[in-house]
Amino acid sequence: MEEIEFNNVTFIINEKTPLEKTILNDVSFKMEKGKIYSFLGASNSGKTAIADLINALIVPTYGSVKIGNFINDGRRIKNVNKLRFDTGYVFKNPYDMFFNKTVKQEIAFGMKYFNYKVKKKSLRINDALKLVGLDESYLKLNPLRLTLVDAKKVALACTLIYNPSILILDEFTNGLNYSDKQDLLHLLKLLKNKYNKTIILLSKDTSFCYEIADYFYLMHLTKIVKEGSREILHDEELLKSINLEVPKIVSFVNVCKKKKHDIDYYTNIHDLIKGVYRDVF
Amino acid sequence: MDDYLKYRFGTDVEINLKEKDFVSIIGNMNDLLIYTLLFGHKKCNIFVGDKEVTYKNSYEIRKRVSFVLYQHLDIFVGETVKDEIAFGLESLALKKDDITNLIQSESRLFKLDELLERDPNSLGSSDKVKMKILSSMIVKPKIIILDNVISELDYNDKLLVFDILNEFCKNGGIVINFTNDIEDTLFGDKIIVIYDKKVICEGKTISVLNEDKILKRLGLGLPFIVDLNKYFMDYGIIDKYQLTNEKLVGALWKK
Amino acid sequence: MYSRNSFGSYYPIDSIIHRLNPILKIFNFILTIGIIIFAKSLEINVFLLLFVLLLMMLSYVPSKYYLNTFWSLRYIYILIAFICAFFNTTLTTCMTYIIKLITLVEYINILAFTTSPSENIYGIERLLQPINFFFLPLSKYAFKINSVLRYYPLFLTVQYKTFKACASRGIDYYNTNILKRISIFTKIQGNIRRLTSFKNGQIMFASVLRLFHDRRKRSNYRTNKIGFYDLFFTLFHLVLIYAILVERGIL
Repeated sequence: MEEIEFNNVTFIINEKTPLEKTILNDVSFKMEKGKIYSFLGASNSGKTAIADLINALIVPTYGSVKIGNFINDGRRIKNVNKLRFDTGYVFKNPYDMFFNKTVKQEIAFGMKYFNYKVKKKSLRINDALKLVGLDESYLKLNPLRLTLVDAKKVALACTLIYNPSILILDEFTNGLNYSDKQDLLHLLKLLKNKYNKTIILLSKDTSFCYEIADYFYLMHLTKIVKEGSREILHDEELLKSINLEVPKIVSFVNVCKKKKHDIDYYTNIHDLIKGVYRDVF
Repeated sequence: MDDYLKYRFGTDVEINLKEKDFVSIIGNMNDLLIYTLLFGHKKCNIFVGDKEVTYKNSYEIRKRVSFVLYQHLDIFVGETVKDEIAFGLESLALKKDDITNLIQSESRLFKLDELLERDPNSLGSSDKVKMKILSSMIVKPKIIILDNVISELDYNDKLLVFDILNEFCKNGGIVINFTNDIEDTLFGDKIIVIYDKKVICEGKTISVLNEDKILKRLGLGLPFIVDLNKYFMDYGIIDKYQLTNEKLVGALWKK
Repeated sequence: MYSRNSFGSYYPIDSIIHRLNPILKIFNFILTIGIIIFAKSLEINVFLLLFVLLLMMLSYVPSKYYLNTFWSLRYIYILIAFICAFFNTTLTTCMTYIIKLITLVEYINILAFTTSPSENIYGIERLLQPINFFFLPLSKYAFKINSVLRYYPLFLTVQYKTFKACASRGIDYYNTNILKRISIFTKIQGNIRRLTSFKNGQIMFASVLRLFHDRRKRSNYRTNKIGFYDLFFTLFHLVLIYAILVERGIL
């Protein structure tokens, strides 16, 4: 899988009826391989539609999407299963992904259909669970009866088991506590540095994405308002106008700069404290 | 003042809440606690007001306690937003005009008044949560219980909902917010930490957040501002908690 | 493909049919079932079909939604034609059966598009109240009847979501040939049915949390008083019943 490219994509549902609604309006960008991208926007701004378009679950009304060698523009895609096999997509509501009776059937679902011949299937399933921080006791449980955090982890294990090269996480950090978020940070860094995967985070949690992502897209209503690296999140007024929370580190450093103390924009709290200590003394 | 909600689970977990309390409950037992509050449990004794929670008087209890659950965010009992909100009022057999007036006034507070005739499946997640909270508050309960739904709200909607919940508390209600996000605890008055079937700490927000070693060992973390304050207090730069950015910066560079 | 937001049957628009009283709507529906079962001649069925087409036009719902169901039953029309040819019946009886099926399906569609579930529950409960000699829990039965009526749209929603989840893991229902479609459908059928009943149970529980009670009366904020159109449509149904009784020789 190589680059992802969106060319003037517009997506409208229920066209020519009274319930017509535009979800994406003339969106264009290019993504490279091996980085962590982050789409930040309030709800109803079209983030899930971008993930659906990359996974070829929906078809753009105008424009085209290019994912590696596949093109999604309304025509029938040959070998579309190969594309889906290579992009792991975790839905916003993890219970939407579950339809089997046990967690083991859930994780091992596609293996038969892909002719994914693995000698030790159970070992691979246990490895996938270990990556997300769960153990073998979860294999016999009913996935619809899991708690929210466990359901999110099982959904992530279901996608990681095929070793996809693109990973899409849709609002994954809603409802996770501090230690789960740190585990997720370590996992994403491992996937990016060791396995060279492209990771796309769709989220409202600006503090989490500020720490880990390389490139940001800010979305509002149906368009991409601004894109760039970390600097675009330093603009407080822009973030407030599109209904996003300013990352906590950024708001603190902005107040420092207003009172004319020279502190850099660090990414995590430990570096920030060292910087402040150096400046105070 | 007497306690309004008395909750006992086994021998170790005991929660007593008075009126006008806004409590955040964190820990790893949230789901079990909510299950017992919904259905009752063998080892549980729960008193709401003066009535005990049993299977027989569940209707009376549900009039006083209303829930907003994460699992029900995609479950709708009506086909339009207005139907969804009016369901509780119709069950109480209010008259047609009362229902429409009440819905108009309350939905303007929550900024949902333009979305009343739409299909609830087509709303964004922030509007869905607001609609669920409104439909639970409109029947005027005494206790509102939120299960992990605040993290789905947009930033402006979060401030709006917390204002409305504070207003609700001042008028004599109780709000219980089960959450995993430690930043939300700054909006409430009290925190209760329940981990592995024991109450670890309980009390006002700042005094519980002062116990940073316990919270970090349990994996719960601290809000960003409180974490900064803690580090600077350990280094001896500041004396007491400064909970806004401006005050903290002013205190740091005073010397 | 996987971009449908809702299979919700209720179409929120203001029309004459939407404003009708739900008690009379359900009463007329029961009369219609009687007409469909007992009418033999082609003329009465055609009259009923034309009446249903008039109702479809007056309801302002886009005809695309009605034609969807009409088109999805195309295999059943062919099946009926085969069965009639097998039993050597005349062409008119075969057409009567097909027209009866279309009328029934489209009438149910009109009811589903123009009546919201809360109106349905209210209508069923009020209709059964005068004959409630045993003080049965009417609200509960009304709710269960309503959930049976809404079972099929719920089934479609769950099926759609399941196929979307399958597709994101690589097995695409809408993009394969018909043999593979049949194999996917049969394998996942049991799961979809289990999920639908689970979701039905959750809807029941959510309504109980909102103070739904088995025996207490409910009000409804939508209903309007009985007006001219209600009486006109009921009169039309009664005229058709009179025509059937004349045809059968009873009157």
